[in-house]
Amino acid sequence: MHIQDGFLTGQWAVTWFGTASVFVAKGIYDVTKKAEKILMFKPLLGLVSAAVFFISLLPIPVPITGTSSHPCGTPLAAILVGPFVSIVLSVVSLLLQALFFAHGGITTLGANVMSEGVIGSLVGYVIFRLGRKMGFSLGIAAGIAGFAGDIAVYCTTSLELALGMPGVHNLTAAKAFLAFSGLYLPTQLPLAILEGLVTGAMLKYIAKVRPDILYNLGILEKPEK
Amino acid sequence: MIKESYFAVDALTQRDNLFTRMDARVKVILSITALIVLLAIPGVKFALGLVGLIMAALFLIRIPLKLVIGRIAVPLIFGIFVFLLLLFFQNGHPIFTLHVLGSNIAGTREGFILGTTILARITASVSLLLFLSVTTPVHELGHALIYLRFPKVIVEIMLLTYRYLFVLWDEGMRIRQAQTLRMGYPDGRGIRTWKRSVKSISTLMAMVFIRAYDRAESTFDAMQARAYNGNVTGGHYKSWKTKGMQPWS
Repeated sequence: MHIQDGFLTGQWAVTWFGTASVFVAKGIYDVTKKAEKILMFKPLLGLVSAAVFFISLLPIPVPITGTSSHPCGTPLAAILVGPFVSIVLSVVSLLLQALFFAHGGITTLGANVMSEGVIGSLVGYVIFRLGRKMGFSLGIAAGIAGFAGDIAVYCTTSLELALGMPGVHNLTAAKAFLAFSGLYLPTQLPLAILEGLVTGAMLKYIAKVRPDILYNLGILEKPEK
Repeated sequence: MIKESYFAVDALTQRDNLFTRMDARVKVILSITALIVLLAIPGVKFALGLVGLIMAALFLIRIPLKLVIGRIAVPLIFGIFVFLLLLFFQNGHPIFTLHVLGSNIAGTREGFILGTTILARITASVSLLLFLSVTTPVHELGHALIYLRFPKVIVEIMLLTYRYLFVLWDEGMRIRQAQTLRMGYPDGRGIRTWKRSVKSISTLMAMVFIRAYDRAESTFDAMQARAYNGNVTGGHYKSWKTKGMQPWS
């Protein structure tokens, strides 16, 4: 769920832009540095970003309600290309959705990048790495990362919406946070579980059929021969 | 259905009219200024005026009404939730009370004013972005953003993403169709059918990613054959586009 233009007051829009831009700057620095060494890096990112964009638009069936919903994809991108680069990718897809598909917003771009990009990437990546360190298999670590990343994104979005409500007092901000989380939870919890499931299953499948991609991206250690 | 709506927007930007002829930089600057003013000015007057203006413009260049309504409807539904929340939880003078489950909930005047402001702002900004998206092709938008000192890396990746999104989309849909034909997405609500669907969808995602990775290599080869040196070229503005801007031309 993206925050639309108009929800946030100017002050909060600027705050989120400021906070997010620190992380985005680090991401841009990383991409530029790496692109100087590997000329193919930017075209590769373009394709990865298109793939993640497409994946995030795919409807996944939700078992209990019989409806379908779509994953957010940032934890997946973070696992594949690293946390800061995936922030840049999230800026790209949020900008595309805002400018061209009129979904999301320009003034709320900072807030959306903060929740979907920064928090989603960092939480997803850290959990994935921790999971791998603790000896989980690739699929399970990625699954937990997808689940946690998704939940983190929606908590942040609820918090931003609650804080951004114009003229709230402390008491109502907390109330508003609960109201927004409550609104999201019934759809979000099953979706987060599904996001975890498909992220894990997808990485497992790639490791099975094309492990060379994962070696190149530095996700798996190349086995010694 | 999502793709059709994206394609529809893409086709609309290719039409020739007053607003597609306008310099993309002008449109971007105007839109961003309007958005900032929208957030800075309290009340609904500016927002509603903007909505009226944009609707008139969209009508003038014959944008299908269905597209306009479809775009505005989704955020508005969420906006109405926010409106209700503000109406009942904002402190202020009560204007009416509801009796729900034995307790009284008061709607306040302050909440009503804030709620309507937010609703108007949402409508205005969504229609503004719709206007920008149906009048400006993505590559022009990208070059305008580069001109306006937007980080170049992001624009480059954005242009590539936009180009390959549709290619990957077609490939993904072909795989999905093949899976459907092989009972990859069975009907029914049982746990087994659901498990199978999830398995199919994760295979599809993995395949799309693998295809994208391979395509990146061939794309890079093609770009290098055309003298790609790590930077996107083209779109260096020399002057402001004025030709064809007179409404009577």
